[in-house]
Amino acid sequence: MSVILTKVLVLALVGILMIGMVAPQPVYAQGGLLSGITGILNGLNGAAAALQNFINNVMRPILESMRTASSAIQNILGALRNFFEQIVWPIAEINRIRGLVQQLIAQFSGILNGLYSLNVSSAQLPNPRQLETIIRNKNPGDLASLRSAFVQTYGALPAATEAHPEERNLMDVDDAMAIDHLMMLKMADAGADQTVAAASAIASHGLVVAPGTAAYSTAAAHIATLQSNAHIQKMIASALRQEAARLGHATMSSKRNAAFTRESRSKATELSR
Amino acid sequence: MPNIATICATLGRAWKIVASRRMQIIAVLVVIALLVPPPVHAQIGFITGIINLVSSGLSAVSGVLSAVNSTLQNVIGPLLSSISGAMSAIQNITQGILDFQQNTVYPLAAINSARALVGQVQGIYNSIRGIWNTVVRSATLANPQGLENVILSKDAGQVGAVAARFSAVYSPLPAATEVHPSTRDVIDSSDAASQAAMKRSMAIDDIADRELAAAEQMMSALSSTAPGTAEMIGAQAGAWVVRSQAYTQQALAEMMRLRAIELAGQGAQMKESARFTRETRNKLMQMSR
Repeated sequence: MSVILTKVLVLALVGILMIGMVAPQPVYAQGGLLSGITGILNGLNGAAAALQNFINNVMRPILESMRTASSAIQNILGALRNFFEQIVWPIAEINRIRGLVQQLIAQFSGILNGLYSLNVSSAQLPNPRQLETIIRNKNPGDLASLRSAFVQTYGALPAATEAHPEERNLMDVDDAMAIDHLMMLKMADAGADQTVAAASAIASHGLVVAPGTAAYSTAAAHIATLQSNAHIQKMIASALRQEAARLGHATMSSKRNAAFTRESRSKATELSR
Repeated sequence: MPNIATICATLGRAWKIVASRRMQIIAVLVVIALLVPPPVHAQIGFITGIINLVSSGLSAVSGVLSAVNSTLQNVIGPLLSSISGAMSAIQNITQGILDFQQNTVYPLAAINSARALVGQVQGIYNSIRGIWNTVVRSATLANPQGLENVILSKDAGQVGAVAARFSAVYSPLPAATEVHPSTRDVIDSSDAASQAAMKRSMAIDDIADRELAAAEQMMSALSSTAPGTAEMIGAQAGAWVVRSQAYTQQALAEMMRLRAIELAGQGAQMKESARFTRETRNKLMQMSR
């Protein structure tokens, strides 16, 4: 009986040992879970470290350069503002120039206007005085009166029976050139009045002009100068015609002398026959 | 169903086998028992390990995040703050520049006032142009009228008609048989100067009208241009003024030539008188012999 029990016991022990050997090993399963948690935590740690690294090595330099750039822009804009306000267009200087404009107008306008409108009429007799009044009245609307006043003073063209045709032509063209020139000068006087008005308007605008709008006044003055030059040229053209007529008249005298000499010689020859 | 005797017989055979190899079996079992880890100890380490692992891992993550927070607050924060301050200053300065430009340099009221001035000057010169457009004609006889119509035409295209019209009024050049050659030269030179001056006056009138047309175009453009481009029109007008001065100089030169020829003609007249006196004296001496 004891032998049987011993055998059973031995067999039981062997069985238990065999079961222990065959049973799964839990230790290996717990080792995988821990490594997973470790991996996740390592991942989180790595991400946080990467963020820290990004902030320090990428974001910070960029922000520092932005700070430097914005500071530089601030300095440049500040300098630009100072340049505009202190150097290019100082308010005090703008006001000083407006004061200068006011002073120039006050100092010169009255005197110049007085000189400009100085009466230089000098004729004493009725007809010359009438002519003088008309040629100086700056009114281009009474040209017909000028013609009649001119005839009153300088005489009318002789009748065809009273003068040689060539001389009549000469007298007529002389009168015409003189009258035309006097008429043109009436226009020039009227135009000069308007030009003075334009100049006054441009000058007075200097009281309210801004630095940025002065270019309008400058351009307007240039254009007005061009127009005045054109009118001066018209006056010179008229003077040229008058001078040409004067020279033509003088030359005509030579021609007339030649013709007179020829006719005298012919008549003397006829008489001596 | 096997009976007990069969089982006992089987067990007996197994026992005999085990008994015969008992030393090897015991040795193998001992080796295996030594190699296999004890499962009870493994379960306790797992829980403790998880706690320790998660704790240390979270602690590390917390440390890094704390460093990130510290960096954001102490480094990035001041940087962003200074950038914000600079941007605010830039905004203020830019606004200041804009205000200065709008209120002092280019005020809208001043722009409108300047445009009104241009319109005013344009109106004045339109009035002047009307004055200058007055027709001037004074000759009464046919030939003088013909000459006057040509030389006051303001049309340089008609200069070809001047010679004939001039001769109709001032007579043509005398024939070579009628005057002394020197006198004929003087007459021709003087007539040429007179005709040239008349032709020049026509060209100048034409030029002046074209200058006025250009000026009108520029003034019209100026009345609607922007402040920044007004200077461009001013520069263009300045160039036209310079050009205009050249035309004026040309006209004055023509005038001076005319005067010079006139003076030369007066001198020639005196020379002619001297020649006539000398020749007369010679002839009288010849007659007295």
